[in-house]
Amino acid sequence: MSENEKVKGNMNRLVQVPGNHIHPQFDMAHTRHLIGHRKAKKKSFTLNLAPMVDMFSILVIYLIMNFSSTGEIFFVSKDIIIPKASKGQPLQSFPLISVVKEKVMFDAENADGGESLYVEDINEGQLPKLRKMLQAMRKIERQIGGEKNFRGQVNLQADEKTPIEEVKKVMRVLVDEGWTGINFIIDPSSAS
Amino acid sequence: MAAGGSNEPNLTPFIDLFSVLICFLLMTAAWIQLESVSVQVEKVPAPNEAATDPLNPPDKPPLKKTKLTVFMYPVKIVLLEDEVETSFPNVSGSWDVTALRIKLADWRNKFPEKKDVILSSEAQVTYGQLIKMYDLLIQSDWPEVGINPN
Repeated sequence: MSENEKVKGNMNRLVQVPGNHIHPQFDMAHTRHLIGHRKAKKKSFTLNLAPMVDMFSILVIYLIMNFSSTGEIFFVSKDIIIPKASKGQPLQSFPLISVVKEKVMFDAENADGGESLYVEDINEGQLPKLRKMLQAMRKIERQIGGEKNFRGQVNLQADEKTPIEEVKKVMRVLVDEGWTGINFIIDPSSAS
Repeated sequence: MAAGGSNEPNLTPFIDLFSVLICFLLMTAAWIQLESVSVQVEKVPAPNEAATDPLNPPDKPPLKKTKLTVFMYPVKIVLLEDEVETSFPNVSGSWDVTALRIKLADWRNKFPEKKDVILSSEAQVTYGQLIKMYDLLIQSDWPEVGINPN
């Protein structure tokens, strides 16, 4: 291509023939900057974790404040509604006896840390299995702490609608076997 | 990130730690807080314990102790002071707790040194009612409530 073909017009107004390129006629520098910025942003996407850490901190503090080392040792059957009372003492880890309908269940931790001791009996008054277990437990406690230190403490739970005679049958067996420290489990929440 | 010269701290270990803590605390949380009341089983004196020794008679006659007993029936509650009884009927499934409180406070004033009350009940009374009465006695400053298991 000769020079005459490239430049046209006169000295005051030279008209240059555009070359072979694809640049726009009007260079929109600001738009180009915005597009470039967006692309750059997409590449370095990061999740802001600070609110998550805040939320976790609050949760942990709340759970620690509500943490209790007592009261979680019991399995409360769905058939049992624990009676409400206002004057109670913190629950201690003693063998648990549950009176559920016509059944009596004994549950205690094993002294050697093995499987828990569990026995179930029909509440007809004599409760031979429960007696046997109470005798065995008493023997173990005597061996560990001596006869003088044996206090015969048990926790007893029953549904609030249970006739008292059902509970008294168990109490009579407990007293017969020397377990006179009977603790009735109560629910202190919203007691009148 | 640190190598890149960023000033932001790495929060991933915090999140790991908090996740583990939350899981642990949720699993060990005690959602039901329970308590217990220590029950004294009423002691029935043995026959030879009550009788006096004929060889060594006591110098003074033993002081007669007033026996305070609360009897629970399905339809009423009877407060027994030796032979004197006061009855509180069960009106439409509930007791007159205020009247019971007044009577127990009256007993408290009358026997300031005494601590024990015997709680006895009929077979038809429910366990919940017994605990309610037990709680009322403890609230009325009777700390030693003996339950009759017979």
